[in-house]
Amino acid sequence: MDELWLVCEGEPDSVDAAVLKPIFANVLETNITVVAGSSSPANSARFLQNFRGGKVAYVLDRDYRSGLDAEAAFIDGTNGFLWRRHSIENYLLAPHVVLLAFERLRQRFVQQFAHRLPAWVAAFPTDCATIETGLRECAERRAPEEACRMCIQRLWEDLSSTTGRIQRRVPMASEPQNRQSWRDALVSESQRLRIAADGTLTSTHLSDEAITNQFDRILDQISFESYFESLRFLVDFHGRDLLTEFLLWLERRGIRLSYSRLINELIEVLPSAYSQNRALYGTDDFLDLANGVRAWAGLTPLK
Amino acid sequence: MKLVSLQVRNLRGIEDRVFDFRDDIGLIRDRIPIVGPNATGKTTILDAIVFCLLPLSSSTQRAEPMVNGKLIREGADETTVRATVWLTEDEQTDSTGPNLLEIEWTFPDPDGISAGGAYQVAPEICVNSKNRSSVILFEQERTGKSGQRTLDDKSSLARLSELYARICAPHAIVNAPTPVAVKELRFHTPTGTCFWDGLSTGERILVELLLPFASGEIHSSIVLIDELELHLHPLWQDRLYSALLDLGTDNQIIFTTHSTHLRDTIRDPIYSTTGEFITAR
Repeated sequence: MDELWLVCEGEPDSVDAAVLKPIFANVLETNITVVAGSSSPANSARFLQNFRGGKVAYVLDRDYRSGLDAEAAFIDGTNGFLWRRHSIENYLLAPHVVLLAFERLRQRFVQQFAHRLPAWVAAFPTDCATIETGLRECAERRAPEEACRMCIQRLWEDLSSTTGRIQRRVPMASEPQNRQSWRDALVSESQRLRIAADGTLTSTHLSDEAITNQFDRILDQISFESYFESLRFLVDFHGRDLLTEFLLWLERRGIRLSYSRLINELIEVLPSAYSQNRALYGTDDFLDLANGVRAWAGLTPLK
Repeated sequence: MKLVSLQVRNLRGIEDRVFDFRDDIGLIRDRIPIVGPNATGKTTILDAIVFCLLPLSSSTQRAEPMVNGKLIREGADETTVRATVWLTEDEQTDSTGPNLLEIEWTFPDPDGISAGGAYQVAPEICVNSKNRSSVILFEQERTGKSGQRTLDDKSSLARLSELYARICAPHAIVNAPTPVAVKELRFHTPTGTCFWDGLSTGERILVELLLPFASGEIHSSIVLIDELELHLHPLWQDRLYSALLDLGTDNQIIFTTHSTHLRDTIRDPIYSTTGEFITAR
């Protein structure tokens, strides 16, 4: 059987790889080797395929692309996949995962410090509801910036593929020995550049009114109470930034953890939280990713 | 019992090195990876812990063969290891006493009266007795010769099967009536069923590592593993690393590794035997 690889984003110690390795190896028990492909998993996958052979797929952050894009990537028959959530950090912020991480930390403090617990340990959240409230507060604070980012993503999707990206070309003369022929070629090329620039300038999407209307529309959409209530922002918002905001929320409660410490604690408990409840995210994204990779490699799905 | 810090002076190649095993919020680390090129002192650190924390009779037994092979660093007259250990209330002989204890081991004994040649200054710590804390060393020269051991009860066999499957799936141990000698166990692999003798070196060494945990012998202990990855495929290295803290209850695992794959997997800060000894992640 060919070796089966999945290249994810980030450096060798990336969060993506740290999350995926134990889930694939221990929870799903699939022999997909996870490696990190820096900022270019697709190129790394191609390199790995040529260098090592086997079957190499890759997975990218969904970022601000739509959920439909992620679903399409599961069935388009290529070796490229997208996370259903914005990025891997969004999976770490599931309230149950956060709760497990703090329960584990508290146990270690209680064990090692017994009756002399540091005061800030008392501030650890002790239930999912408190964590959800904290996450909603964080999402509300971040909503305007997230709306702006979503807006700029829509803008690029709405613009034509050539807008703002004028291809460089070397002019070609019809009569290479003729001076006038080269002058005409240059004029023709500069006209092409002007037309392309005019296309950008006159795009209705780029007017002040259009872009601010779009922003307002998106901000309204992500400010509905139901949007916060359902924790939908855990799918759409920028995971790392939401995590940073959550860290500040913890800090305001008196909990002193560094970003890397918090993320490591979450990574540590995620496989356990996921194996206890495979419906943790509504859809079983890790299983679907593993099965997507296996299907692409011609293997039967895991159950 | 957990190791909080360690100072090693003039032991083999190490001149003077201090290791603090607490993390950024004051908790003692449970999983401590040590890396470094050959001959930079990884195994020496594990030896230092054994010398200092095991009762003098046991540590002398280990140190004696090394005396002629430069136990003391060239140019020095004596070697010293100082350790700070943390004990739970259950482990303290006097539950009202401090739970941090300083222990010191010196070779040779400055007074020249110790039979083994070494001298140990230690409060009465609980080691190596039933239900008490201990220091366990899995040496680099693990040979996978545990086939002679016997699993006495159902729960030990079930636990071994569970741990083995967690790391080696889809390989599995076929259930058997107990007591059963390990060499009589049947192992199910994707290519068929075999006995102990038919296992690969990696599988045997792994079973050897898991056996004392499965038998419930190792809890609240400092477990030292030289070259954790020994003979294992990267996938099994990952699984073993993930399983380390679940092998027993409240163990502190200190391990060395040469595996670049494992180094990339490890999220814990790595202690290196060269230069700055902590790589924070």
